[in-house]
Amino acid sequence: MTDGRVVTDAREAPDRRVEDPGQGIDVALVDQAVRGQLEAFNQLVARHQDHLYALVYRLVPDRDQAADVVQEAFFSAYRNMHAFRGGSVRSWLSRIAVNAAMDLQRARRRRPFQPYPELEDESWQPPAEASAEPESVVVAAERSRALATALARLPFEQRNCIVLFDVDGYDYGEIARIMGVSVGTVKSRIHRGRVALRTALDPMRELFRG
Amino acid sequence: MIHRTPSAAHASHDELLLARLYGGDVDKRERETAMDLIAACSDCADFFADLGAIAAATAALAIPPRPRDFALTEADAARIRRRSIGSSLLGAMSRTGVLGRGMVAVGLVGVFLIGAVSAFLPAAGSLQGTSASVAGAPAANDVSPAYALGPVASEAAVGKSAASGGGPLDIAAATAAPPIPAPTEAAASTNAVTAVGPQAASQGVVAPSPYLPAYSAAPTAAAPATTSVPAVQTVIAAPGSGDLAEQHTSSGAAASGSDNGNERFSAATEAASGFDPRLVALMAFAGLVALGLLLLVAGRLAARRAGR
Repeated sequence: MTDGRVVTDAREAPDRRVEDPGQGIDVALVDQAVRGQLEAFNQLVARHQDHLYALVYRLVPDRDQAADVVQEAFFSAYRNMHAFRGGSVRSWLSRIAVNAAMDLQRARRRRPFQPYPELEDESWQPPAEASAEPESVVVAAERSRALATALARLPFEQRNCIVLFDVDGYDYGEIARIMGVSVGTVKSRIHRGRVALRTALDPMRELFRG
Repeated sequence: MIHRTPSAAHASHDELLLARLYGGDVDKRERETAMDLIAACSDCADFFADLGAIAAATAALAIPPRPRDFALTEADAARIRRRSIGSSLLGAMSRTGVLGRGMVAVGLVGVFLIGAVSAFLPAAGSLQGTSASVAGAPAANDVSPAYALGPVASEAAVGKSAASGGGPLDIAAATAAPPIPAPTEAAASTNAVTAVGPQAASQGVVAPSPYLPAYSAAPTAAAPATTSVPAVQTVIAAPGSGDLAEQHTSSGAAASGSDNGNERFSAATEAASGFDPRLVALMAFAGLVALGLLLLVAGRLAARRAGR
C-alpha cells in the first residue's frame, strides 16, 4: 500500500544543485580582492553571508557560535584568497565554513558542555506568514523545534552530511571531499542519519504530514 | 500525536534499505526489493514518505536572522595581513604534500631495509666468521682458547673465528675504562670481529662483518701503529704468528697493526659502548617518517583552512 503517495527517488532529481547565477561577479570580486581591494571582498561577504550563516546554523545550532564560525570562515577566506582555484566561489566559501564548523564540533566533543543551549531558547520564533492561520503557525514552530532538536542529537558527522546533501545540494562526492572521507562513508552516514532522524521524530510524525 | 506500534512484519523489514533507496544508493535488485516492501507494507510506505517529508523540512528549517554583519573592517584586514607570515608558512605547508609523502615513503623503505638487514645479516655474519676461522686455522701455531681474553673482551666479544685464528693470544687491553661486562652471545654474533692468519688474508678469505662500516684488514708493515679508538680498545696480539693486522674500531676511523709482525686484533666493542650504527640509521629513518607525517598533517590542515 502506498496510499497514493508518489514514491520519489533522490537520484531521479535531474539537477539538485541550484546554479549560482552570480558566479562571474564573484570571480571578478575575488580578483579585485586579491589585488588588495577590501571593498570588493566585503561585497563578496554581503552576497554570501546569509547563505553561509544558514548553512552553519544547521550544523552548529547555536546562534552565537554559528556567527563566530561564519566570521572565522570569512577571515580564513580573506587570508587564503590567493588559494582560490576558480570554480564556484559559493562552494569554496561553503567548504571553508563547513570545515570551520567541523573544527568547532570536534572541540565541543572533546569538551562536552551543555550541548546547544540555543535549543532551549524560545526567545526567537520563526516568522509567520501574514495570512497564516494561528494553528499552522504553531505547527510550523513545533515542527522546526522538533527537527532542530533531532538534528542536534545526531552525531555531527551524520548531521553534516545530511545538511550538505539535503539543504545545500552537494552530491556524495563533493561531501566526501569536503569532509575528507570516502564516498561510501558519506552514503552510510546519510542513510543511517535519515533512519535515526525518522526514528527520533516518530512520536511527532504527524507534524511532518501535509 | 499518534503513537503507532509497528507491525510484527515491519519489524523485520530493512529500513536502511529504504533510506538507501531514498538516497538513490541501490542497485537494480535492491531497488526491486525496496519497492516490493513499499508496495506490500504500509509501515514501509509511511517510513519512506516520512524520509522525504523530513528532508524537505530540514531544507526549509527556519533560520534565525544572522546576528551581525560579517564584513571585514580595515582593522580586521590589517590584522590578517600581519599574520600573513604564519599563513604563508601554512600555505607553503599545504604544498608540501608531495614532499611529505616522499619522506614518509623513503623513511619506511629505510626502516624496512634495516629490519631486513638485521634479520638476515646476523646469520650471514656467523657464516662469514666461520669461514674465516676455518681459513685462518692453519696459520695458528697454537690454538689457544680465545677466552683467555678475560673480562675485557670475552669469548663472546671476539667470536669463535678469533678463537681459532688467533694463535697464542696475548691481551693488551689498551683501555682506560674499568673492566666491561662481557657482551652477550647475541652481541658477539652481530659484532663479530674476525682475526685470521696471513694465509687467509692472502686468499682473500677475510670476511669482515658486513654491517659494521669501519672494518679493515691491512698488512702490518703498512699499517700505522696508532689508533684512535675512543674509549675502549682491546688488542689481541699473537706474537710471531703473522703479519696481518685487523682492527675494527667503533669510531671507524683508524686501523692499525703491529710492526713486529704480530697479528693484531683490535676491537672497540660496540656492544660494550652501546653504539650500533643500525640503531642510528633506524632512528634517522624513523625521524624521516615522523617529519614526513608532520608535513602531511600540516599541509592537510592548511588546505582545509584554505577551502581546498
